[in-house]
Amino acid sequence: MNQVNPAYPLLQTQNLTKTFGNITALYNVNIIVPPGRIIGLLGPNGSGKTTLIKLVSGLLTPSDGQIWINGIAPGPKTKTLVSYLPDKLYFDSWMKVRDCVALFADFYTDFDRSKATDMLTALGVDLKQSFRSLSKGTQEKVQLALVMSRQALLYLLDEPIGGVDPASRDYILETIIRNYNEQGTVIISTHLIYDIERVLDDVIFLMNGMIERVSSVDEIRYQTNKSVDEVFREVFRC
Amino acid sequence: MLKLIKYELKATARIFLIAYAALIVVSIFSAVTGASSQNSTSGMITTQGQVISSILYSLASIIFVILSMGVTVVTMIIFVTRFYRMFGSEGYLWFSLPVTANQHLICKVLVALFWTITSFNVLLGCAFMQIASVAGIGFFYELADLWKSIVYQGMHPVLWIVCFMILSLSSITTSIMISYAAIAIGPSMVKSRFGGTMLAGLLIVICTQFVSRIMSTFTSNTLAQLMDQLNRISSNAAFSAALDDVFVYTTVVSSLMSVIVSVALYILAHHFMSKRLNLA
Repeated sequence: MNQVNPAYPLLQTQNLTKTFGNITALYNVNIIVPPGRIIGLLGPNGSGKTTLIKLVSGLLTPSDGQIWINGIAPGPKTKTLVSYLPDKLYFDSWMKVRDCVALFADFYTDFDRSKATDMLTALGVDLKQSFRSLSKGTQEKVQLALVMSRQALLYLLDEPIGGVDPASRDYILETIIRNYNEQGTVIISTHLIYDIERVLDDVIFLMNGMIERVSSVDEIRYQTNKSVDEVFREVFRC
Repeated sequence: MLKLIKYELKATARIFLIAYAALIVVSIFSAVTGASSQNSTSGMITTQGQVISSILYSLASIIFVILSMGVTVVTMIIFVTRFYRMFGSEGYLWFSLPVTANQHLICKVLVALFWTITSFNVLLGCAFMQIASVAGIGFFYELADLWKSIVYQGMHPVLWIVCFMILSLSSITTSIMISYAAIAIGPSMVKSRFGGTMLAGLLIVICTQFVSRIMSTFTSNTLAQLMDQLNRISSNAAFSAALDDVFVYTTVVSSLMSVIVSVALYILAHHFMSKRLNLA
């Protein structure tokens, strides 16, 4: 079972910078994320949310700076601690839903197979069905169910409610809240603040690849007397 | 590692097994029609049935040739596209697994080698079936006689086969590593992943040609000496020994070069997958 190392923050970045050619996607990002929180990584399109998540997941290499997850730099070891949901459909075309479940069970020791099966059954998904034969929305929900069936220390969910109908948003948020490991932390990237605000403990505002604000939701409400959504709209007004 | 291999085999097996099944069915059909079209006593087509058999045999032979080429091309395409897709959306799954770049690479190379060898064996088996159907079982007796006469003259056909296998294996591994290194480096070279892969592939091929040129300048003298020796020999025993030397020398030098190139490309691909991974 994955354990939080109390000597280190769950996630820490130091002067984290990522450039793509002449474009700076992230610049000098310093964050410290404690365990046991649900954090909204908020910002408009192109603000660097996905880049930050991919860097922490180890799918991108930093141009400069450092990342530590539970005190360890991204690599195969941190991938046992991180449960990552990309904003892409990633299962191979030959796979049936049961193959997807088996793959997670094979590679992740913290994966709870029965939990995943229960969630998929609740979704009405037949395990014998081909993954690609499912609707796009259901494919996304299957991926979410698998990711949330892990007892990970850090859940990185990239736009989990982007492009889905309001009913599905509720289902997705419920799935996240009910199933995450409470010893760990969930980072949810989105620009749909209104829908997600009620589940968040903290927010990180990203603007043009830089940290604009790191704050708890209560702090924002107390200091500004406004909702996070309202503050977001003010900060990122075009 | 074994789990990765299991999934890689599962992903590719369906396509290969269907292709092999089609090839075997066509071979059997071709063998049966071939045998019946050869079945007239005078060796000439005399009955309507034999005409039909002959037409069917020709048709099956054409399909067999097309399928054989298809299996060869499919084998190459599959191992290249499987690796290429790892750097697209599927990479979000594979690269977020707690698996090292070494394990990914070794798995892909082993599975590609497995299917290449299997495809070769299936093609060889089907080709033998075709020949045997037309030439009859006597073909294998002739083959056995040829083998005996080669051995009788003091030559070592087993050694040649071993040399051929080593050479094939090493050159296939190099081809696989050229593709894999190009695919791994490609995304870091230019914005377009496909363009980057092509460019990297071109550069790698130029570099490997350059390395082989350099190596051949060192080895050409020895090879020339061995060939010269071979030309001046008059006795059978000495000739076969010298011929073995030429085979062994060529195999060792070529395989060594393939191993050096493959290891260099492996290190390069591994570096880009573990230290400079940038999934689009």
